[in-house]
Amino acid sequence: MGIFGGIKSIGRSISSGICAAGSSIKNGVKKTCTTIKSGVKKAKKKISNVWGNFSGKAQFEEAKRIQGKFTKRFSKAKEDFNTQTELLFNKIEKSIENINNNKSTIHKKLLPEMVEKLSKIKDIKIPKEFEIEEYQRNTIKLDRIKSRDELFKIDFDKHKFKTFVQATFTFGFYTRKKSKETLFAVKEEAKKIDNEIAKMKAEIKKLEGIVQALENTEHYFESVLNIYTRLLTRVDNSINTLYFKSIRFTHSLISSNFSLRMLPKVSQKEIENLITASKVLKNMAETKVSSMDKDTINEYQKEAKKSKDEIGKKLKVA
Amino acid sequence: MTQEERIKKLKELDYCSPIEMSSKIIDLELYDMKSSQEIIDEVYRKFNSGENLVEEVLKPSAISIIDRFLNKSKKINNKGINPAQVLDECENFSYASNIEIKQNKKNDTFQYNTKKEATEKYNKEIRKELDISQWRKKKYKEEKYNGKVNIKSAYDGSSIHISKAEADKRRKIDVNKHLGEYEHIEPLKEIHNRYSDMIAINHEDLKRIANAESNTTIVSQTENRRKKDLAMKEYIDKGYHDYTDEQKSKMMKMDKQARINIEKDVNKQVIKNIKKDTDIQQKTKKHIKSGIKNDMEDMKSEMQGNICVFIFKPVYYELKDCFINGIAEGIGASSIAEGFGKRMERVKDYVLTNAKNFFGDSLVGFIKGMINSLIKGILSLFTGVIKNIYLITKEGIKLFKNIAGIYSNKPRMTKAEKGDLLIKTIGTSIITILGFQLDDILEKAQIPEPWSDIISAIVTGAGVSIFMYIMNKIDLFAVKAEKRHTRIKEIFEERINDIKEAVEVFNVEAIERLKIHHQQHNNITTSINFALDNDDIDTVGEKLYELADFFKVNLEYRNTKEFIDYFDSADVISI
Repeated sequence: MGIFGGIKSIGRSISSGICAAGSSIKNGVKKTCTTIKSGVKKAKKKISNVWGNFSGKAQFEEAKRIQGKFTKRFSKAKEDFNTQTELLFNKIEKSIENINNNKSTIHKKLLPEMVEKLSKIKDIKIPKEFEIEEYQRNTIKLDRIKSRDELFKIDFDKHKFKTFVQATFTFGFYTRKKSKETLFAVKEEAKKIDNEIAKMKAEIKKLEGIVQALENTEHYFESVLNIYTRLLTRVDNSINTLYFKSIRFTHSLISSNFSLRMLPKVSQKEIENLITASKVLKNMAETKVSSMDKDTINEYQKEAKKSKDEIGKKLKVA
Repeated sequence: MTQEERIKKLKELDYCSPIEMSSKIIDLELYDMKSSQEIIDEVYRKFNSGENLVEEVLKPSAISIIDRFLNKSKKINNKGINPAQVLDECENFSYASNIEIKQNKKNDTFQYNTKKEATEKYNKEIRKELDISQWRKKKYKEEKYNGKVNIKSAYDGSSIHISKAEADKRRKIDVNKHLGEYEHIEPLKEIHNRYSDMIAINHEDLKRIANAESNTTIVSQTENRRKKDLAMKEYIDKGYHDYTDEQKSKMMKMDKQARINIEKDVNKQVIKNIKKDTDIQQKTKKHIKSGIKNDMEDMKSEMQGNICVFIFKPVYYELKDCFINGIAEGIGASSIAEGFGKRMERVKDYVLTNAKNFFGDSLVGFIKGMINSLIKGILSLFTGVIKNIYLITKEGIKLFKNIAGIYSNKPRMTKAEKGDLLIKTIGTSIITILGFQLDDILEKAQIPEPWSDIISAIVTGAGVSIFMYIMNKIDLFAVKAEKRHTRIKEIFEERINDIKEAVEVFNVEAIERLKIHHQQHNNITTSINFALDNDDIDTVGEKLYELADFFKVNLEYRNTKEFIDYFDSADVISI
């Protein structure tokens, strides 16, 4: 290393010393700034907390938070509820349609067939018709959520100056009271929403129950109809066999003095089974599966239409 | 529909046909149909209604007024009469039911507070002392029969005879039923229990009162023996004797009248005894001299208590009615002024009509003579500054206790409630202390007691009322909103729990039942199909009966034999 090398290295050390001093000063200043900044922040926060408690703004903020939370919760619950009810209503309507078809089969096909088959030995009277049913979509009327204007007795966001003056001149009594009232009103609304959601859940449970009950009924109809068809075939065979076996017997059959006792035991049993099954079938077809029959619903609809028309007329006159 | 009804409906699913299940479920209610918003609105309405003002304003003010009447006598409180009790009486008051309430509750302070230290328990000996001799009873009967051999029983109206011989002569059976007997309408036991412990009355007085014309009559021996020591209501309620409703009501009226007369007689006798009986007077003087609780002060305090309850009850009733229904509503008035007038008229009528029964004839003499002369000395000890300091301290403590008592139902008070109570306590205390200055003014104006007390209490009470009303309207700490919120919260929590409970029951009664039905049905139909496949006609029949039972079908036969009878019995078979 020459002289220049030595000077260079000295220069380097000086400049690095200056740099180090500069950066340490800079760091010190930065640190101080950060400390001051965080101190100011803390102080600001403290002041804002004190002000929030003094004026009741803290409670107002809490009210805002609760309102936002339950609004979201209610919207979601309502949406789910509508989707689920739509599905369940469709299922219910489908089941009722199937049950109505089965009722129609019983009325138009199976029972007349039974009457015809047994007419050789007895006159049988069957119901003229069965009620065709329909499901009236009926669900809860949900309450709406109150708007912010309705719930909030004071608004620190909208009326910053006004609330500041109110808080200052009443030593916070007025604004605190209003904030507290707002918070209570919002909490009450939240409870209302809880109640509405509980209602929705119960309603879904009930609709699921209806679906399950109707699916059971559909199944009952199908299986009993199946058995009944088999019984009809058996009775048909039994009577036809007897019919061809003996003319004398046939003569007895058509005479008014006919008694079931004249038939062989097996035939007696076959007829007994068919009549028992017919009674079961009739009972099933006559029992209402929904709370309203089609006629009643039509009447309701007519009434509703009539009153709607009348209101419309009155409004026109007005 | 209530929750009980809802659960009951759900449980009914157990008994319905499987086919009916869907329609029954459609008709079910798993929650109350009332809109949630309506519930909130209802609570708000209630909190803004007069009922709330009664709780918040009228009751504390009433307590303050009543307390002013009672606070001068330490003895009244020692005897268990406190403002809350009087307020309770006021709450139960109505013009129509006043007499019954007073009698049933036995809360006549006049009688209650003149009790001796110990009460002797009713027994045979006492009964003997209070009852008249057989000879006197016979005489009484003769007078009542007035030469006749039979008269009507005062209770059931049946024909009753003067003697056993007469009854025997005419009726061979049920002689007891037809024999007349001397009867105390108000039983001796009741009279003893109620009045025997009064210091100014003795057994002889009670005997005379109990056997007075107004409390005696003739009834059948059966009725008399059955009634024994029972009070009339108790006797009727026990149903020992078959009375018609008309007879029952007549008997209750007799009983009511007898009680009124007895009370009147007792009051008269007490006053008479105090005036004339030197023993009693000496006894009372001795008490005064020795500085112990004196009975005469009791008498004065009791009378004040009586006046308080007696006058305050209708006034409170009117105020409460005004708060709840409005001044002019419900009394056929067209304006507030007219309504106010009518209400005042009603109070005045009530006081004047009942004053005589209540106080007896010697009210003025009693108050002016006995009380003033005997008690003035004692009260005069507390005059001037000492009196005021004593009363102010006492008043402050008492007011605090009374107001705290109103809130005692909620031991865990919130900060807001505490603040509210504190402000109200301080406010009412200041008003009450100012009321003592009014006492001095009234004293200087030479207005006699107890009217000075009444005036100062009413003025102070009005001050407290106004203060409480203003505080209630301002609701500085939003206590009203807090209470309302708590109520709404409670209602919704209860409703949500009800819904949860209904859903749980629904799961068990409906959903589980549906699964069971499905299984049962499958078992039956599988068996039928299996039997059909195997040509087992008997099993088919058997299972079809099961199927009919499953669907709750009412068959007119249960086996082949019965079926053949059924089939052959008519030309046409209806399915």
